[in-house]
Amino acid sequence: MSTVEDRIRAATQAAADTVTPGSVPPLRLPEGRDGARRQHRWPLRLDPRRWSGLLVPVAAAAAVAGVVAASLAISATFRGTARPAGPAGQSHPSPAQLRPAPLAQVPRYFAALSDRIQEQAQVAVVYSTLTGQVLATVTPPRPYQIFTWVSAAADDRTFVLAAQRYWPIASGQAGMPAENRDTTTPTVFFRMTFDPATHVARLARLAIPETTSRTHLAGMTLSPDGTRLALDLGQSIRVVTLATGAVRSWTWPGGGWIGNSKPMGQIFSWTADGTTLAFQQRNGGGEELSLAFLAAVAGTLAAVVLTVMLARRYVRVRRAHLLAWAIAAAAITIVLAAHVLGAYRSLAPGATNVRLLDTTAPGNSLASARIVHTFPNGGAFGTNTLLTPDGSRIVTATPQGITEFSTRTGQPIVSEDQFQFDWQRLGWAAGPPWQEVLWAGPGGHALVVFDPRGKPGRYGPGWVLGVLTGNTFTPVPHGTNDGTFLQLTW
Amino acid sequence: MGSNRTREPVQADVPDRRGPAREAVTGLYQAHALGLIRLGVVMLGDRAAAEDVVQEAFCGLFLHWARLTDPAKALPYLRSAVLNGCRSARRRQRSQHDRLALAAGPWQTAESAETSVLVGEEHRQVLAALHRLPPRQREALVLRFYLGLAEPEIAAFMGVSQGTVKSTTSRALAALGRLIREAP
Repeated sequence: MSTVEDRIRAATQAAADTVTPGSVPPLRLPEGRDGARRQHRWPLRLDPRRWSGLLVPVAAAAAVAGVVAASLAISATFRGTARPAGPAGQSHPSPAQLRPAPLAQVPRYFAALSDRIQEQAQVAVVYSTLTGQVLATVTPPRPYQIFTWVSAAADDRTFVLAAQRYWPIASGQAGMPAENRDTTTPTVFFRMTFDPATHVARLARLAIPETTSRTHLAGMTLSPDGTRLALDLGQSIRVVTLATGAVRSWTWPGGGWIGNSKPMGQIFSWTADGTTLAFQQRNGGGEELSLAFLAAVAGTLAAVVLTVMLARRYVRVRRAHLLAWAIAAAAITIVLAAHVLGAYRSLAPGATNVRLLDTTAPGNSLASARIVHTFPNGGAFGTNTLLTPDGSRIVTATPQGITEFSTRTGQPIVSEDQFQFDWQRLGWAAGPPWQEVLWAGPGGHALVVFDPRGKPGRYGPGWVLGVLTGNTFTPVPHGTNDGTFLQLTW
Repeated sequence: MGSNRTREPVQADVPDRRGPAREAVTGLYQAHALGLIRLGVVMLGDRAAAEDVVQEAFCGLFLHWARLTDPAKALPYLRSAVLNGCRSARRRQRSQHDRLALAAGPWQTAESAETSVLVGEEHRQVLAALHRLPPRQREALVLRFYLGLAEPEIAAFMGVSQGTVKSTTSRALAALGRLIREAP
């Protein structure tokens, strides 16, 4: 009996002998440098099943790329073409001489909460924008001690004030009833009507239920016609119809907060018709959510690798196909992650979205409010935003100066009044104090800003109130803030 | 002046190196194609696939002829190319068989009708068992008992050490014997 080795020799030789010398096909060498494989493989013996396994992941990757491209195209379509920011004069072609004086382009009177007592405002003061003079001063009716918020209607003489009980704790006064001194007592609201003829400001109590404490009330903004008051409760917005006391609420379903970053001006802004409310919505989370997102991506990739390994172990699949699948899956994961981070950066933790809420539309979720612009987390942004009364622009302060964004495209339209305070003059290493926009006129042609161009003090720049028109800053007389202004409204 | 320099046709100075390459590769084909196709048939059990592999090997040699410093290494290159091509073709065959879920063994399904007629039943059983071995074991046996190569040559072809060749061949023989005994 022959050995296994002999049987192998005989069998392989028998198999080899099936190829006779005269049956060798002629050699077909390629004419071109890369013609060999095509000449041989294509199209003579193409096995479609060999390529089908590769076509699927390639097609999947191509589909993802197509979706991303289409999404970007759609996004670009809706955003329009960005116009570079430039001097204000370029975007305001109207001749300056046809405009009224800068100070005359804003409401004639403004109100301020001032007179700090432990950071609380004891009085509300009505000022003249043209002269900066004090025209009237009111104090909260007893037993209320402080004003917490103030907001103006568009008629330049109607304001709403929020007031609260408060008792400053002086030396030896510890142990007083908490309801007399803390900030948990309910907020009450007063309408303040200023009479320019007599320079008298009168307060009238508003019939708003005392259900909101100052702790929960983050700000308020009166509608232009003075009939509705929007209250910021941190995670929700409540609009109260002053005549009837009717309340409508919208709630933010996620984390973070609702309001405005630095509302020395107003926490919200309305369109002139009183239908649309603009607000900032800052996403919650931060590093935790970012880590969770990265963990999700890493987990998905790990799952892909594990699936490939298991498939390789238990399923007979060509390694090239598996590799193609793995690459396609990883590419899809990475592309989707990048897409989410890029196109959907409004969802990113810590990002600040400027949203427009249609208060006439049904629904009670603030998630339905349209995003018109997103400031990324960690970006050079940290101030308030205002909607122009015509609803066409969002105005805010950025490192480029006062910048106006289109509410239609979300793109910057113009930047003006770039002012960089030299902190090093005061021995500080850094800290650019941006301007703050307090009021915006129609089309953003006239703005009231708080600007750090005043005479520097010992601890920082000198802040000056002024009107910005066509990149021209006109100070409000006596508008230098010596620290008495807590809140301002036009 | 530099600005008056005329641009010479670059291609005019490049000799046509394809002519000698074509002649050399054709000569090698005439001398070794039969043996390499036979090697491919033994490895794959499929005449058409073996011809494809050999054809690709010669095309590859032709395309890379300019980089071949020693013409004596052309044949080892071709053998390596054929063996590599057989591995790839074998993987394609295996996935094809898996998809078709054929009950028959690899050799029976892979061999052409002509080969099936010419190879006797006894040899077919051995070949079927040979093709059920892992690729490395199959290669080791074919190189050792069909081509009659010594262990250093096999090690060079397979890119492994001689010790690995010994152990692989030993395991392959044991496995092949077991498969032959288990065959109906």
